[in-house]
Amino acid sequence: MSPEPLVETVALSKEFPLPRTVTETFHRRPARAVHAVDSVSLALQPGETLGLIGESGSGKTTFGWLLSRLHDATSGEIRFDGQEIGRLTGAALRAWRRNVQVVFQDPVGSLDPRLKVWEIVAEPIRVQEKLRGGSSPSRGEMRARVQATLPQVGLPPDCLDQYAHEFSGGGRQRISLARAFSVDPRLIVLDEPTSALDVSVQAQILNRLVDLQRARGLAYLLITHNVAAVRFAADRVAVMYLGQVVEVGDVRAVLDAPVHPYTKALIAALPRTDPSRRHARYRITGDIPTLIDPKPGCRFAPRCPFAKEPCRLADPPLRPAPGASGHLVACVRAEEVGAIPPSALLESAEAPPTGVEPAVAAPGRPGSSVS
Amino acid sequence: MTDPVLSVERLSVDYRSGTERVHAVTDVSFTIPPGRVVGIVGETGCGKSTLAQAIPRLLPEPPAEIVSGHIVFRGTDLVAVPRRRLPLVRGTGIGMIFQEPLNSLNPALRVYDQVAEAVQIRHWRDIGLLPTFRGGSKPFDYSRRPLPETSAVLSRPITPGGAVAEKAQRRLTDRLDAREEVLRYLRLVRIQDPETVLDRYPHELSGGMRQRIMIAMALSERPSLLIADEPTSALDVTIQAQVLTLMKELIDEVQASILFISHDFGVIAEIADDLGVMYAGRLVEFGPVADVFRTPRHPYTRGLLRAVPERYKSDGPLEVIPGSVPHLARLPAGCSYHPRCPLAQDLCRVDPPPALRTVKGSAERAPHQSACHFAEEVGTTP
Amino acid sequence: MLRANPLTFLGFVLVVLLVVAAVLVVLSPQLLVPYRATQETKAYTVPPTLLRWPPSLVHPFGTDETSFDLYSEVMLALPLDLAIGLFIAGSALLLGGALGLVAGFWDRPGTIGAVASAAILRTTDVFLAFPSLLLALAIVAALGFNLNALLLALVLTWWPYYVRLVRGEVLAIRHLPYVTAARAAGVGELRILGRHVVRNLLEPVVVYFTLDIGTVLVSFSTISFVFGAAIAYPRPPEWGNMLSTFQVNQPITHAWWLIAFPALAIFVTALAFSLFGDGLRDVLDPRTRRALVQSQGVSAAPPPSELAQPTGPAAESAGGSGP
Repeated sequence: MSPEPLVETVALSKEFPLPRTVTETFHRRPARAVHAVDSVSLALQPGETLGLIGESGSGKTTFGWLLSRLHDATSGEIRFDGQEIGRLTGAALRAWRRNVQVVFQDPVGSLDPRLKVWEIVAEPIRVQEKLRGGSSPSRGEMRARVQATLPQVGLPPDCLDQYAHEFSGGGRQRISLARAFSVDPRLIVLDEPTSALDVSVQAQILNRLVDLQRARGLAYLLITHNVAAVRFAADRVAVMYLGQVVEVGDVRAVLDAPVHPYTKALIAALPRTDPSRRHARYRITGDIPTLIDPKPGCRFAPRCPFAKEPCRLADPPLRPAPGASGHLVACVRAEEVGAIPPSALLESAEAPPTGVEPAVAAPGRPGSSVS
Repeated sequence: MTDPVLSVERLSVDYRSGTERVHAVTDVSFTIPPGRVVGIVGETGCGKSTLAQAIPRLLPEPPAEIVSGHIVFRGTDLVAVPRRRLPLVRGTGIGMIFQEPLNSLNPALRVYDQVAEAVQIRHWRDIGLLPTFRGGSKPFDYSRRPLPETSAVLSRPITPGGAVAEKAQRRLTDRLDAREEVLRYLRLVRIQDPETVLDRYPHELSGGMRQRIMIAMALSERPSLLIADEPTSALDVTIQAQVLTLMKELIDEVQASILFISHDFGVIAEIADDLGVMYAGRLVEFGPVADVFRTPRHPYTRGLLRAVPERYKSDGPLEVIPGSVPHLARLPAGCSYHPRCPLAQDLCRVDPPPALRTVKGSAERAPHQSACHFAEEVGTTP
Repeated sequence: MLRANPLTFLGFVLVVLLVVAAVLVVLSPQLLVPYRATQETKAYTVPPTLLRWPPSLVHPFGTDETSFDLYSEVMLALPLDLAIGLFIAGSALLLGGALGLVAGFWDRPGTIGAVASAAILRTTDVFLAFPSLLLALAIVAALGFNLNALLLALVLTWWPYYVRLVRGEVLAIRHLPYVTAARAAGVGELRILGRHVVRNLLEPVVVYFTLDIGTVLVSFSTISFVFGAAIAYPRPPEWGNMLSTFQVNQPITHAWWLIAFPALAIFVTALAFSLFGDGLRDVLDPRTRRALVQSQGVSAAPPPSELAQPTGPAAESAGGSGP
């Protein structure tokens, strides 16, 4: 890892307290809390794309909001360019925001229905000019600036005076992109940017994102549940499960040879997009548990087919994966389970695999069936 | 070959909004043989959900309107069924699974009550309290029961006796049995610890669990056709894999045919036997799923398959289909795909291609059909 | 675009007519009010022989028990009634709306805003706990029946509804992604409130406001009706008040027109504002506004290009997103 990360979080946590129930108040018990993000330490280099994948409830969106200071962290630090920004407030915070912009998932809700395209895109420019103490550009100047931006995101320059609802989902997402790029940020948090879009449009947007990054050299935090999009667009990837990072490293390393059992489960669950190589039955059972006051121990242990006693005792630390630099994994049994291919989780099994010790000497399919 | 469970013939469905007519489904034909899984894939607004709801006649009519065509389900044309007899069709022959199980379950009822209702109705049909659907050559049993003579009604004792009392007694015992039956269906969908789930409300369950209960309810009607409209799209990947696994296992057990609607090629590739691709309200390609994936015979299918990042192999940008899906009320002339099609020629801009035709050289028993003028060339041109 | 819906158009025409008529009555009464009270006698200049005459060509609404021309009376009451309706609903909107904004936008746990918000909401609850009409009646009874007391009573009972309405809208809007996006761009809180929140809640609030004017008039007339009989001549020109005095003085069977025409005036005014409010909803929303324009065949804007083709609202419904 290079010594000068653009953003770095240190043990960043966010808890959302639940309202106290009647019984809790009666027994004077403290209110419970949802531990959405639980001491996450990640770093982003300038100009790189970090994919952040996980299922719902993994805390990936909350982490993105913490990083862009849309939530205030409960504990931990965020360093941007070496400076602690977790405690910025007021005008200093607002001025800092030019560095980090956010693109949201919902292409309908993320654009004000009463504003025209140019007003939407111009808003960050105007605000940031003002915060810098400069005079606000005139209306005509602003329109010209916006007009110059639109083709970069693939919008026609003559749509300045249209409303967002007149565009299709892809068009709206392009307006969101134009807004995010308008102030030349150094990091853009992309929160599920293509999840609401159709396949053909998704490819257009992903290509556009990669092109813009090459042209401008900014960094992305690509938050998504779409593993394929991360494989296409990201340099490194972090996998989150129930508020914690379980594995982080180079995209190819993590996605092609996952070490953590949860990453394996995730990869194994992906549909194959190839009818000739269909899944056998999927062996991970159980639901994603709740985030309310989690017990210590590996969060994945209750569903993990490889879990043993030590897994349930304490939170496993994030440590280098066996035999790979820059590849971190939070599994105490990484050495033993690391080499097992994800396809081992797909075998047909009559008995539920939980608690069974099947895999180290997994017979049958080796990694050959995984592309 | 046996008779198909469902055969849709040249079905067209319009929506009226104001003076506009939106052609949501145009001239769609396909068949579902017994025990097969037919997948329909398409982008937003291509009419696939409309199709899913048109088959059991669930669409609100108006604004929707079946303009032409037939939906032949086990020998009966559902288009010809009068509106007031529709509940009969929906309940007995065709089961539905929707995308968002939280909205499809009644939030005020416990799991037991939801499933028991379906089980109970099925049971009443079995014992003749409710009319049932009889497909095949036999006609529907729509005959209204003859009204009793007035004198007979007047002379009937006020307290029920005889057959009436027996029926009431039977209903009472049926209620008790329903619990076992409900548990049986919950176990069928692999819900562990079904007794505790019985007393939960839908919002207390996870998305995967709710979808399992939806499947249990659909199966309790013992349908011969299951229509699943994006059943896993709202679920997380690991949960989706679990539900897909369940559905694959159930296909063998319950012997139902499935119409599986999705926007996700991966999911379709996992589960479908045959695959239909819809674009702008039309079925543009239909065939065995392996053939469609290996050699797509419509440029749209080919474009979609190349745009899917899951199939991204080399470096460089993803292949894209330029433009976006046209508005269904303002379709371009000729082939509605021609403005986005890299292979479009003058013929395509003028002459709308016919509905599906069998591609030359495809197997006779499992034909590969396409609605492209140049279906044969699609496979060979880059 | 108003003509897209005939009822909306009717409401629009009625409201314009009412306002124009009210202005005319104030500026040049001779145009619309044939018989007026003279300065000296405060009596209407009608021969005393015409006691309680049914409608005729000369007196289209008939005359009352003091031989006043009823049409003149109804017309003279128009400006006052409109002003009352606008004033009460408007004051309630300003007061309740401002409090609702505070209670909705700054209600964040652990801040002063949360305390203020709680205080506002509990006060609102206290007011809402009383039946509003009874509360207004009680206030009028305590202060004595006059126009100022009536206005005060109605404003005091009316504002809590606007707090509820505005706060609900703010809560819904303030968590929408575009508000978060504005915050992420560094937009200040006050500007977010003004530019993104208020602008988007304006439409439902203005619509509610116009619908409310009719309700205010009816309530005002009711209170006026209850207390009206106690007032000596000359009575204030107000429809509810007219109804009440007529109703007390005459059985309706003897002179139906005395009840019918003031009641009709209230009804027409309330209806006009209701229809107007419904139509306003469509006009204010840029989404339906474009749709209305397009449905009339006026092209709103050239379609931008292939890449970002505009889709009308029908595109969503065409997807058939569920029963």
